[in-house]
Amino acid sequence: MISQFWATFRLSLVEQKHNRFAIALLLVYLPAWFAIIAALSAGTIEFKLRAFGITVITSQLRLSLLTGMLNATTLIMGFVGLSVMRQSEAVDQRLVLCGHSRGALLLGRLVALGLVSLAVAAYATSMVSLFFPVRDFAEVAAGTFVAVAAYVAIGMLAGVVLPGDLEGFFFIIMLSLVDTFMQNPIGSAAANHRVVEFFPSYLPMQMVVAGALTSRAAWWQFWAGLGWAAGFGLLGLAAFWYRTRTARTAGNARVSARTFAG
Amino acid sequence: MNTQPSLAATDVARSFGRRVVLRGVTFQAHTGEMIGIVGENGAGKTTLLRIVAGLLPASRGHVEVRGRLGYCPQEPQVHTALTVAQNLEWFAAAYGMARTAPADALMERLGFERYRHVLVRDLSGGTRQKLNLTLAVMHAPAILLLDEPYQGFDWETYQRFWALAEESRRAGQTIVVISHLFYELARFDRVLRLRDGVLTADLSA
Repeated sequence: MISQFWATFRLSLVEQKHNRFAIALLLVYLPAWFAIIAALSAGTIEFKLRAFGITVITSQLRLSLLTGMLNATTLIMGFVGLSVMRQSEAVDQRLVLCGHSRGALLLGRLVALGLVSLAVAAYATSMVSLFFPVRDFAEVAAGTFVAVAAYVAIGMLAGVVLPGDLEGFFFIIMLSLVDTFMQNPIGSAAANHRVVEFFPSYLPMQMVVAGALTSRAAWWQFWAGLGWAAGFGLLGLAAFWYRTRTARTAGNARVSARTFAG
Repeated sequence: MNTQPSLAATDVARSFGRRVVLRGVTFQAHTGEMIGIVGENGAGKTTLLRIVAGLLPASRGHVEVRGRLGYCPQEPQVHTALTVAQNLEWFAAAYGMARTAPADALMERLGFERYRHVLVRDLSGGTRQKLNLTLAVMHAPAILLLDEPYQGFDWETYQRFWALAEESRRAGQTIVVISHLFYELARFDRVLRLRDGVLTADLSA
């Protein structure tokens, strides 16, 4: 069980290392996107930090960078979650048939994706830091991690529930666009309205803005924000558990008899 | 030949909605026996093998398996973003094997050891199929289920495959091969035809 967990954990990380498209997006698209935002943004904007009951006035550049970071990282990592599920479903079921523990498979994949999400959040925060000095790096990275983890879970769920890759991609693109767009007062009149509180990137956005622009922190938002990741994650894992089931585990069989009663 | 079969399927039926695929399939395979199951496209061969392997529940019936199973699916089910060696390592962990040495020997026999550190997505279809087969047999199972195992093999690999299968059978392995056509019926102890959801004649008789 432990050796199977380590094999899954290590090889899941290796799989992500070979995900050239996602890495290229992070290395090229993210800085290019930030450079475009920096070139085009001007003026100031108000943003409401509800945990502290204050409104911050900041440059559109800073707020756009933070929104752009969440939008880009949630999209990329949502696709990663989706592709993990779409590409590995049949072979994961085969591994289970060969005697691999489903628990070890799930846990190994989950821990690996969690680690990748953490690295992506830290990298994206570093990128933003190149454009302006964020006040609290850890808080911004933690807020980004919460958003990314939620979208990895959403991607995994979409990969199991939706019928094809295209449906999954469209679902993640539309959800991430609507979700992160709604949080940004530059484009959305509803950004300071209570309705945005019901979207997955609401708490991460509150966290990254507070961390980047103020010296305040509300760490309960981190744990509450993880609720989205945990909720979607549990649904995705339940679906994964169901999809990798076998009538029996072949590799461990000595003598087995199965009766199917219909 | 042992009287106790290593594999016994009794009255196995399977429907998908209203479509009846298997109507009541019964067959047995003994230690050291090589059985071929032939049928047209869509006859239900893969469904039958998936039920026997334990991947799919039957709607009705009973399957008894004595010993470890090895299952080679028709389409290579491998991690395409990993190398050949990494796939072997992951399956070795699944089988509870400490080393991949038996798989290394099989890679040499099937002639693809030079691709050990190549990503599977960069391999040809035939080489992927060699890996697919190796993953099914690397733990030396007592019973081997092969679904169209030599698809994409060149002639030389096809011959190596049969040499390997023959050797395994002589060592006591029970082998069930399904295909939509067989060129060499003499290689099998029995060849059964799956038609309209039931197994019929022994074509090798």
